Amino acid sequence: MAASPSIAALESELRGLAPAGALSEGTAALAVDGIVPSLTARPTDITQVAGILQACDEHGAAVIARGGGNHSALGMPPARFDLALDLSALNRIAEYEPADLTVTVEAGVLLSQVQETLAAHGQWLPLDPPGDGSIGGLLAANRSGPARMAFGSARDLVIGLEAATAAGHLVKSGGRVVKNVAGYDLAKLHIGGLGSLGVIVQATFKVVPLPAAVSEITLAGPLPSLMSTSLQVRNRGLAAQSLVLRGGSEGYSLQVRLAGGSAAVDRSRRETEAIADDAGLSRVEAGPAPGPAAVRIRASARPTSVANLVEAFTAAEAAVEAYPTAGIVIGRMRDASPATVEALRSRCVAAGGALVLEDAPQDLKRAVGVWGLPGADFALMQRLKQQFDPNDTLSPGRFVGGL
Amino acid sequence: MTIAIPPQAISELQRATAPERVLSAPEDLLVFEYDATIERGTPTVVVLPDSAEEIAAILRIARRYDLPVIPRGAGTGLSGGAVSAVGGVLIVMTRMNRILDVDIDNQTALVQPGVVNLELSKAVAKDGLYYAPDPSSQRACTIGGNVAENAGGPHCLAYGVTTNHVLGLEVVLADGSIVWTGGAARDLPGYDLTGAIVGSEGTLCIVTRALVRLMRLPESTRTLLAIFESIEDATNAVTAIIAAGLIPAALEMLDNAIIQAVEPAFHVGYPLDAGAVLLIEVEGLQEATAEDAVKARAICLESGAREVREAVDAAARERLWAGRKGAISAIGRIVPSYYVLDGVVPRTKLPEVMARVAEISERHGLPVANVFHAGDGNLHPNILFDERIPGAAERVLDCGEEIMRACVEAGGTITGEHGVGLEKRDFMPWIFTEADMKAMQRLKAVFAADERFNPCKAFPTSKGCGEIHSRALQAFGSDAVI
Repeated sequence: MAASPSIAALESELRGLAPAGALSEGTAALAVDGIVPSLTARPTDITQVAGILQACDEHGAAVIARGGGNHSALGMPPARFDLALDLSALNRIAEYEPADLTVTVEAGVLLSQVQETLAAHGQWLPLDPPGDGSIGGLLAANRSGPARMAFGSARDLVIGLEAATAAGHLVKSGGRVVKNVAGYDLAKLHIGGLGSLGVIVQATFKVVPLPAAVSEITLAGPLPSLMSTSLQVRNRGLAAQSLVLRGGSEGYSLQVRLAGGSAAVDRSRRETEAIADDAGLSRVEAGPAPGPAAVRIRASARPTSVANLVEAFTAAEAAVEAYPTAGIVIGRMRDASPATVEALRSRCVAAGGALVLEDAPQDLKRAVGVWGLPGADFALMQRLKQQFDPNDTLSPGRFVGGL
Repeated sequence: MTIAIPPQAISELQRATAPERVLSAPEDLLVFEYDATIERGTPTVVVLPDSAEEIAAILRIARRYDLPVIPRGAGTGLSGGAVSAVGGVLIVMTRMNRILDVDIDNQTALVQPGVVNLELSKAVAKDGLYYAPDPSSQRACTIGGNVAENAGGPHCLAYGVTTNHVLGLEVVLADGSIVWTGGAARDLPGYDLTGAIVGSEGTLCIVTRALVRLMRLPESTRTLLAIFESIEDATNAVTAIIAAGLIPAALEMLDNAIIQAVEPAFHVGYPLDAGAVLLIEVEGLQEATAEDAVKARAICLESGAREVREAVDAAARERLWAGRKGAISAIGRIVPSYYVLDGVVPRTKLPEVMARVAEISERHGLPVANVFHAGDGNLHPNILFDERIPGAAERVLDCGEEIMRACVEAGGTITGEHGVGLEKRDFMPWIFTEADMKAMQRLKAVFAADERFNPCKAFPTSKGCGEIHSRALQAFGSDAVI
């Protein structure tokens, strides 16, 4: 167990490193799971990040990074939290050559800013999680949206990554080109790692052209018919960018977003409508996006298990959002008992998947755990943490298995 | 040069597997000395396991006797990854070649590492599925090897490389433990160890099962052959196609030197007087491919193409691809030896880098034949030479190194798909700092794989690795291919 850090000594060392104004007292707004950090640092460039981490590591201080704070709720309550590392000033788009279809951005850049910059050149980063967030946060939390069915998730889109380690090094992997097998793929470990192996400071993505045509259609009807429609759209190779199943006890709808060349989209629309008619589905207006909820759970499973999980979530009174062909089911509830969440988790695990409690009051998080039981490869994960963050400086206790 | 192995170790290996699956006679070892490069290395013993449990036992024996281990698939690699650098136990995975399960509705397949890449696609074709990563060696290379090198192939432009298609792996660690990482469900909580293992060149663990993603066969495929007067025009067309937001399923370039080798052998219809040709393939719905083919054709013509032809049927398409996929082997018809390079540059830099390649080639007095994945900037300049000429091989290595430097200087990298292996260890400092490589090497500790686990691969030369290249140069035969 680490001894209490000497915050005063750390503070004075950091003042020596940081430009004036970048270091201040922690505030309640920066709390993670109710723990307010003593300090906050706001570096203005990447090398400062490394220096800050090294100082914290040497003084036994625990660090949690943030961009806009949109993902701070994810994870178990931290074991310790002494310094909030605010990366919002790392907000440059470092390199963008539209003709290369790659872009390099610092961790504090918001996804919306990236999309705006790319849109001016007829391109986009095909990552569409609901809401906005900093690139660093999105990657650390491995956020994704329904476009993953066509483009994959962050691990498929990142081609290069730079992270600052607890020991104060800046470490790169990958590069700026779309084919690259030099070196080990450390980016895969940082993405979804909740900052527990290093603080992501910059990432390079491959991007895609914006589609020439887009057409959306929302269908309503019984769950089995909506599921079979999803599979048919997938199996026929129709130009579907995303399929989102929504609903709950009042019924379900399937929002189909078709995108691509105009002839392909027209054909895909006609065929989707024909499939829907055959399945007895009706056409409806797209409903509103789901609002915030006190409890949000996210299951991942094989696509063939989605219907089963959607029904289970509905029975637990969750508003459901699912990406059927990607095997993702999200549930939003006003509240949930530990028993309810555990029962849903068992069902996911039995289906070969997992259930993550993405957002919940602290007591629920502590009662059922955010991540579920670690898998068979947990010993390797422990060794990974040991190798990269031996002093448990980075986001301690928030990750799988208490890492 | 090889490491001695005590007779008890051999008996233990035989007991752990079977006597006929442990080879130590010199005439048996010969077959396993090489891969698709000139790298040569004699293993001390070769073992052909049937299961993960046998591999676990082999690794425990190797550890006890302090022997290096080298995993090997079909031996088609292009960076020396499956060649034994300092001797040791060569573990050949080819007997483990079964497709264990195909899940049509979930579009996944569970395979043993010795399954041949193309055989997997063939096996699932009747279900309307295929395995997308398609290296040119796919008739022979294995999934295990693909995983080790994060293999690419022409169709990776649109569909991604091996790492985008591997969902989970069963691996055996150096200490003999058997572990599953990943799984059929996406985004499982925890670190993506599967993603870290893919592309680790057999230096961390041995893959014994892979759960891979399958894709649906496209409704329509159209293949164009665009004929240009010069490499410059062709590379400008590539840049223009990508910049126009058209991402074909494949976009390959072959230059005149390659055409001279391929056309007389394969008769695919590549014009012998073309400066370069582009093989462009678009896939998807009929409507999409029709539109994309029109767009690609227009861009090629605008970029100076003399003519753009389209394959009229599947047979014609097969022929065009046979020329591309057989290109490297066809080179052997026109020159005694050739050296296959693998570098990547940003697509916008293609015209300038290809001009530099031509200049470097001329200055060294060594012709270069280019066939490559132009759409993702992945060059394969092949240096043609006659190793019987004294000093030629050294010049080739110098020329190759200069071309690699040109790629890095243009913002690219030293390997797009063949791996670092033995060949490019000492180029790693061009693109990674000490801190970068030290961090990466920590994964060796995570996997309990010390320097005996596929030694002398992927990272700069450590002690004991010696001058492998110069040994290989001395061992040149008249059919050398490096």
